[in-house]
Amino acid sequence: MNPRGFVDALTQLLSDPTLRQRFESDRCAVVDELGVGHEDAELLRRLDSQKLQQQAQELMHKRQSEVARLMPITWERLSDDAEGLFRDYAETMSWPCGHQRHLHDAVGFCGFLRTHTPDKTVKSECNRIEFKASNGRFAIKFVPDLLLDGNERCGIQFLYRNSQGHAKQSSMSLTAIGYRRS
Amino acid sequence: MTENELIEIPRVGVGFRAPIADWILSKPESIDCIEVTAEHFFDSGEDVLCELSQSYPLYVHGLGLSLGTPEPLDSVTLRRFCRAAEVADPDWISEHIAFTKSGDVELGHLNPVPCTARTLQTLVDHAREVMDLCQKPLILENITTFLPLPGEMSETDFINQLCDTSGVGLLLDVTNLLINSRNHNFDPVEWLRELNPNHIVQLHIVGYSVRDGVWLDHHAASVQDDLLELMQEVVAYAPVQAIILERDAHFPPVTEIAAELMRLEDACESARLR
Repeated sequence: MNPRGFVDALTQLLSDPTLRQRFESDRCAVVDELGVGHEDAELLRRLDSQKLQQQAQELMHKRQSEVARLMPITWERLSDDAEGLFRDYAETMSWPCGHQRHLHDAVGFCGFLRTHTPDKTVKSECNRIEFKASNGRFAIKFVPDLLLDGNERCGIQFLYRNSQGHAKQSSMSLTAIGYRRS
Repeated sequence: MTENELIEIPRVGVGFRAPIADWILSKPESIDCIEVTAEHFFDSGEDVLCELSQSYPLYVHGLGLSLGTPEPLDSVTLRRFCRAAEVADPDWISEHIAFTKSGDVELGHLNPVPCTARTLQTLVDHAREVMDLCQKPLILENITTFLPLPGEMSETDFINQLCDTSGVGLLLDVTNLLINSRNHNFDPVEWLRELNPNHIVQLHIVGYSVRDGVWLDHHAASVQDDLLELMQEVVAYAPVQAIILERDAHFPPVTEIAAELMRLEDACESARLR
């Protein structure tokens, strides 16, 4: 079997917090365990573990920023809890692959919120994100939290794709036709 | 320089992003050129690419080819990247001197590669493959990193050799250079002067952020004065052909973006008059 290369070993270190911790306390053992060739092992042993940690944290911060950008209403509602919840989610879920990875990450975070903090989940935003990530052409959703004119209202979401394939949304507040949430 | 002599300054434009798409498509005078992100057009939007291509000099920028990974390039991603380039018909295409994944592990963002002969060969091979398939000139971008890697040569020597050997150009991200110089304590102008100026084709610039004494590339701020001065150093030093304002978040009103583009253009003019 070919020895693992430097980039592959660095990827393991950047993606695995436990491995990084062990690297900090006993780097030689971790480098041996990674099974890299002689030259790459030498480069790995010379890594600054503090800066390695900083690089990994920045990757996590960028991952979180992309999801926050895709679901701004949820992020605002989560407020000070947002970062901690995202960290908890990210520990259980590695970064999805491919060019839609941010969108799929947001879908994963929606699922996590539904399970762990259902009261803080913004259903209308999760519906929109999940529809965008799907192959669906059209969907109708009844939601309690449509953001209309700066207020949350009960309403109906119409999710569809236009002729270019872009996901779009129209919505209707049920309060406008006399419906009141009990 | 005589009074009547024309000075040549780089084109100045912006990265195509959804929040400013309508403004860009209205063809304002302040925009000379546009850079599109290939991945944004992998699933749809070819009509928009065609429209942009007819309206502006265009450049196609990639994020996910992971040229620094010593494995075969992902054929699906490469094919989609080339398709975007085919539709956009850009002056050149670009990617990063970096890796974003290895095996089946996705890291999501750009990470540094060690400046070694083996990495150089990986990048040269991958760059040639991309150029062969897309049939467009390729330029590669320097990234920011918190993690300086040990290597066999300096970063500037590595970049010069990469350009000389593979025939790629350099997309010099001025913001990334300034951020790295602040976080790792080196002189960005000295770093710049170690590069062969003829390799520098295009620049990226956007304001930096600072958090807890650490400099960050969050692409969410206006260009600061020290950054503008560094950009002028580059424009005076190298035959830069285009500059892209690379804003990704916290978009100001388009009038402010237009004013920022004018500021960049004025700075280029005074740099070339030096």
